[in-house]
Amino acid sequence: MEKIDKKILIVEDDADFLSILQIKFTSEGFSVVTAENGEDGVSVAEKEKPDLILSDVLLPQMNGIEMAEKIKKSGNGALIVFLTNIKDTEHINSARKLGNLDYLIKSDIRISDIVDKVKAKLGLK
Amino acid sequence: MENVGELRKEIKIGEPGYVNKNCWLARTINYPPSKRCQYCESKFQHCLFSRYLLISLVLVASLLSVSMLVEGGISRLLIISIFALVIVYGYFFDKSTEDIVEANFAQRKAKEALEELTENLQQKVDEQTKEIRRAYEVEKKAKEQLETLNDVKNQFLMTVQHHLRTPLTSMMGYADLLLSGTFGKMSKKVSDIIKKFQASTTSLIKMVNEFLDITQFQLGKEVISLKENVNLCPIFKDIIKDIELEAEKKGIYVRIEKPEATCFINADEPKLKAALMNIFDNAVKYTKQGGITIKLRLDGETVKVEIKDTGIGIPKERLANLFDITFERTEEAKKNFATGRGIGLYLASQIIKAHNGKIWAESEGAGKGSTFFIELPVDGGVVH
Repeated sequence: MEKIDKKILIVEDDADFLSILQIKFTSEGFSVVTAENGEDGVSVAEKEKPDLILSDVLLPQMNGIEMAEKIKKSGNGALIVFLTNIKDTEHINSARKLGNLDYLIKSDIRISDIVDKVKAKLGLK
Repeated sequence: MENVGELRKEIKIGEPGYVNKNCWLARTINYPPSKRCQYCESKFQHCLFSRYLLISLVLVASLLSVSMLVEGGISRLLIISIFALVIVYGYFFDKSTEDIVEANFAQRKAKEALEELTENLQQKVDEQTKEIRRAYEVEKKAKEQLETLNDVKNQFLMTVQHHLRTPLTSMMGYADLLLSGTFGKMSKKVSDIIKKFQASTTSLIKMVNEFLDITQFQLGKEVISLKENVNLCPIFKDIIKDIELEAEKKGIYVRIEKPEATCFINADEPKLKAALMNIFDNAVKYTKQGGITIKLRLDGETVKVEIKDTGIGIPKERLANLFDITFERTEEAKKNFATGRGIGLYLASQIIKAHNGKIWAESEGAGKGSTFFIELPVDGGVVH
């Protein structure tokens, strides 16, 4: 497993899923930082300056969309990919307003596919 | 002084007139009450009787005064005759006037009675209307309450379904990690078991997703998102490949007639594929012998699909509610064919309808096979 020189920030309030993603991405060679709610997500993004942010939409304290807006406003150029279990088109459409954003539906996708998507987004492989 | 002819003209239909019951002259000579005016409450000068009497008296007085000035019995006789003539004329005038006024009076009374009846009727109608309106409001409220309850139920279902997906997703994730060797190598036996575990979890997730779609349809929410120019060909290829595999296992044939031309429509690919898959699956599932014939063609602006099977068929009385959410599988189906939740057709039909398409089935009856028809417009409709 080669080390990949990319940092991923995973923001997810479900401890199990967060752990799964963390293990997977670490095993793929990424360096991973995590946050469990929107506010922490903003501060960790500021501190760690990740290359890509993989985030849930429904988060405590501040939802993923708001968090993404705040991060973008602060000039952070990180790519953002949303992971969600909701199929609410309203949420997705408001996410689209933030520009070129991807979203993946957690229950419809496998972990390895998430990794592939992230790698594609980062222009790797 | 008015003459009698003028007085007669003054009586208009329905106007008060004739004898003022309070007329002091009428009371003085005790004029019969039945002849007195019932509703003339006006003053002395309206009273015709009094007028008549007054005129007569004035005439008499004048004549008597004149006669006093005239000598001779003949003159006096003449004067008395004139007086008599006046009285007689006045009486007949009186009489005919009385008839007119009494007729007017009767008419007026009838009119009043009719008005009262109308008013009563109107009152009754108003009361009834109020009652009906009240009952309607009660029913309307009840209906609104039911609709609210239904929405609450559906929202609750959606919340439950969303929450079900969270642990399911983690289960799939852990299985993935195990199988990808992240936690070290596993024996084939263990990895086979994990694969079975994953298959069950996948089917559970699929079930939850389907129930969620149904609830969203029920809530009237948008379930599909149409994309332009989706190629139907590979979709059909995949579906047909799957059912050919299944059919081979069962020893039934699959015959396909399809055009060479490809077809692009506006569609929500995964959902449409799932809906079509369901129908094709059913055809194979419910056929024990014989086989399936599939016809695809492009008819103008419509893609037409026909799936004919030689399976258990559908009883005529079941054809009507085939695509309803409450549709139960037939006894035959439940007895001889294990799987089937009975929601597949409802969901498939909702998805096809959401694509502005049509779906229906025909069957000669139980045991005589069935044919499903699906039509999809090439220009599927609104695209997001």
